[in-house]
Amino acid sequence: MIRVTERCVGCGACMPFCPKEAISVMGVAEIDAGRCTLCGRCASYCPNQAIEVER
Amino acid sequence: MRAVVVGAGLGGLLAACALAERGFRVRVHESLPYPGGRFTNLEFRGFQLSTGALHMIPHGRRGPLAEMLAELGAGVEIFRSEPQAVFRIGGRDYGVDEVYSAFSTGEKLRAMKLLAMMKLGRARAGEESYAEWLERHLRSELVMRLADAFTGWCLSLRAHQVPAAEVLAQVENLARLGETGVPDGGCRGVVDALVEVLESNGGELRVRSRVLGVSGTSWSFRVHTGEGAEEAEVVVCNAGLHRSAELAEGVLPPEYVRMLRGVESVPGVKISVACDEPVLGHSGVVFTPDAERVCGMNEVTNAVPELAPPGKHLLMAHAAPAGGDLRREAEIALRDLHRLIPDFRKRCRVLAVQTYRGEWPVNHAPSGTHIPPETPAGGLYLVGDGVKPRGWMETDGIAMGVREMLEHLSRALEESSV
Repeated sequence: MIRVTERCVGCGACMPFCPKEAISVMGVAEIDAGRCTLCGRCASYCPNQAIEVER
Repeated sequence: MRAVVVGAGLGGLLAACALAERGFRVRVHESLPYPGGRFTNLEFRGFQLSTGALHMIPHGRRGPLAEMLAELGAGVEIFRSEPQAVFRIGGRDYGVDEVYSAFSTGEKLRAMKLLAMMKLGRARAGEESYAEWLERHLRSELVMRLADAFTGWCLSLRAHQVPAAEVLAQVENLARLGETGVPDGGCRGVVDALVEVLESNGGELRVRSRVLGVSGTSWSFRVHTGEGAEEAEVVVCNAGLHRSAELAEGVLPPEYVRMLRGVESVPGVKISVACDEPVLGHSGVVFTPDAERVCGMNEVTNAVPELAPPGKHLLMAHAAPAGGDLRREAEIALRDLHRLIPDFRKRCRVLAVQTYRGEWPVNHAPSGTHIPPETPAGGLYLVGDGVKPRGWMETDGIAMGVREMLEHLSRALEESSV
């Protein structure tokens, strides 16, 4: 499971780090669950600790 | 003496380099995996987007940031933008010195006089906002739109949200220094050069290192991280005003902590666009007073082509929101771009829409707030975009805040036997 919490401001810092280009940002980040491999890179690059990954 | 810097944003890195150069043993803790904060590059599809800033230094090679980089020995070339700025009105671009010709005959002369007075630093203002001040001097719809575009681009605030005295001081500095520039390598070019200077002076940068709190008393602090606690005589917080208040709550008086917590950060919207050819044709600012939300655009690849893949260009637009729903604000800003750029659909492709607010804002304090870098705790300082002295904006404001911090520290060390 991957979840974008209300801490997300939509800054897009996560987007380029996704190896699957599964993140789109418009006001907040949205992760395409079909493409996401739960690698967690987006979470480690989030300045607001807004992404939670449960493997 | 030992100094710990919390946060490796532009302010934190400038402070760290200057302290290392002055003989401090410096360690910088950055919670993210990379330094630079909202002032570094994000590579996406071969384009160097940015984490925040628009790859631009407002006062170019002649401003406080360039001066400080040179003093520190950070070798970053800054390319001067020519023109510095234009205003896109009714589809035509007017240079800063010809913008009065866009006014009606009745307003033209008064607009010219007002601009001249502002540039010479002869304009005075009381407590009123910039919008109120302008209204008093030249009641004109166009002048208000120009002012909103200017403050919207530079400060992410509209003219009614900024004190007139602050804007007048900024305009005077812009007129005096007369330059805007793009650093080689974009924001990251500056950050990389600073990290190199820091490390060559014996300073240490730790990424993925989150500071949990600061304890102790003036000039004798303990900084707590996941690795344990370390002692330092000087602590510099570059973590935003709210987070700094939270970290140092135990060493600061409650009323000061409340003051920091009460400062509201400034939101904004940035749109990065890929173009197959130059759309603006220069690297200066194109202010957009006709648009609903977009305040200005730049195309930095005209100065530094490496910020885009070969032959491509990177255009960035900034919008100052009018409401709290940033998704909606971003949609309005996108609509603006289609109107501002002829054949947008054919020539341009939106790469990213980035919004900034809360603890990751455009600025941690609205322009004109003037929180000094020194705090009630001796040796504990604040730097960053929440701490800009009067008359200084964007990255040059951050550099001026760091300079004030260093001056205060020198005085404090001279006066005491610390």
